[in-house]
Amino acid sequence: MIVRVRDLRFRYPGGAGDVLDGLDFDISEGEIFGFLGPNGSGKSTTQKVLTRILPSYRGAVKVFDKDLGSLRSDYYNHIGVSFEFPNLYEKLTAEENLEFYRGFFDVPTDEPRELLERFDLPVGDSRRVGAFSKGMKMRLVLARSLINRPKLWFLDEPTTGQDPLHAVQIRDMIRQMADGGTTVFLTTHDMTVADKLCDRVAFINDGTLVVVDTPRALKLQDHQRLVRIEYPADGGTLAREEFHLDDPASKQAFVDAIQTREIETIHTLEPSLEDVFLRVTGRGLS
Amino acid sequence: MSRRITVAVRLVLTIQSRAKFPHVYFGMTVFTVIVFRTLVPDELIPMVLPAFLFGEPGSLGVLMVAAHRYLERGERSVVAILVTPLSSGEYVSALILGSAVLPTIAAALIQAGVQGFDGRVLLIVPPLYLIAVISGSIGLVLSTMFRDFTRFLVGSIPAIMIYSLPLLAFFKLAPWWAFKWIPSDPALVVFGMLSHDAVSMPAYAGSVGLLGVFAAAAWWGAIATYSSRVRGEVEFA
Ligand SMILES: Nc1ncnc2c1ncn2[C@@H]1O[C@H](COP(=O)(O)OP(=O)(O)OP(=O)(O)O)[C@@H](O)[C@H]1O
Ligand SMILES: [Mg+2]
Repeated sequence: MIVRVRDLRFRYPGGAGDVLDGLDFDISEGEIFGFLGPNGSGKSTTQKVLTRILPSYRGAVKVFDKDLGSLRSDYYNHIGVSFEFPNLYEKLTAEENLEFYRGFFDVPTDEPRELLERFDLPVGDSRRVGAFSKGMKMRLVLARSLINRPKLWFLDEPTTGQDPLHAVQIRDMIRQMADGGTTVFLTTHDMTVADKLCDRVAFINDGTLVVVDTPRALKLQDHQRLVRIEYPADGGTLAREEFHLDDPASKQAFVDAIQTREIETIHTLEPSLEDVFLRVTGRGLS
Repeated sequence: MSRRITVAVRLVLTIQSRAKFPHVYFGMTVFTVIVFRTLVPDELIPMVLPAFLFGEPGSLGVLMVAAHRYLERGERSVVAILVTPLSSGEYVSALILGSAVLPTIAAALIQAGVQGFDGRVLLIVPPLYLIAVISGSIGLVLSTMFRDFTRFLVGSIPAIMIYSLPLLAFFKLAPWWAFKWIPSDPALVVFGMLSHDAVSMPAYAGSVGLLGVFAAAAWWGAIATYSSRVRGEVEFA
């Protein structure tokens, strides 16, 4: 186990109640572990506890088989942390941001220029980061978090603010890192990202884990084998019909429809991860 | 000094130069030199200049660190460098050591600009730097106590005033012994000695040493204050 969390509780200084209310989960090596949940449910707080930004937690947390509280600054040589907000030196260029940052590590680091290229950021650009767009700043934060080639990579909403092209690139990058043996703790509101990437996902609601499982198992849990077709009906309207494949009569009706109708679209109706989200948290996505 | 602190000091200096801190200092230096050369009568310079030189890194040093901190707070950039092996103590040290550079250079340039470049300029650099370290530490503690710059400005006035009390003794309005407990006192002793061309090396070394002790204490206090804020999570709340 790379991460082992037992009964993790956390309360902000002066806060009224526990924001994390007894979390239990394990993350194994090379796994992409998705951390999903509504706004304010405690995802970023959990990441901050695991990255020792918030040290006053209660409970037992082990990372790399060592007690989190006993880890010293060397811990940071082995993890990468990307944040939910861009937190860069706005008066420096992208390259300077990375160049200074790498100077703080005791382990081999990547070349800033290579990282910029990998994240589709301009190389040799004399502009200060303050002049970058939101998406560019977030990609620079991501690039920075990889500079020390981490074994454990924390990502807090990495695709927020990214256009579809860059979102796909980031998804591919996370996949590549995991294939190379990096363990990934991934917080996201993007259910497509979670579904496509994560080996397992955890749903957190009000500081409590509701469920931890593979995306596929979660989707199949309340799965009904259902097919929906659309075809043109009389008077130029669009007709829509659903068939239950577990019901022989409905199944036969489906076969008949395929033979007799001019079908325009045909879909199987397994639940999406978004449906699972709504069901297990009892809320909608923001 | 560790490699990490060296990198962090370079980072601090780069940010300050991008934020145009040197421009402000250079403008102030030129202005001060002109005022001294045109408006201050020659016979008063040996008395007024040291007091001014002391006050400059003293008060501006407090503001300098604070301005830097509020800038970084706006960017939220500190939390990012604290998830590297750089410790909060190393960060604080780099901020104080780096921020003391500009006030020291400015004060030395004023001395050279007013009285000419001679051995005295080199002799005042160590005490000037130590004062800037002390005031930088004070600025750090104050900026840690006050969440925004406006409150900081109000809050820092009493601190800067206490710090300026030895000036009363310097202008012979109060006895020296009354202010021995204030770190700025040994600095004024040094400046007094230098301006009257009566530099006794043992006395100089004694005062600079005392200043060094005060600087180390202030530095330690700043690290302790800041680290407890980080450990108490107040810094990131
Ligand atoms: N610095 C803080 N001080 C006090 N309470 C906080 C602080 N930061 C977060 N909280 C509270 O802790 C709870 C969890 O916040 P957290 O940021 O972990 O949520 P999140 O799941 O990451 O939400 P989002 O999806 O919006 O990013 C919220 O109720 C929030 O109000
Ligand atoms: Mg969050």
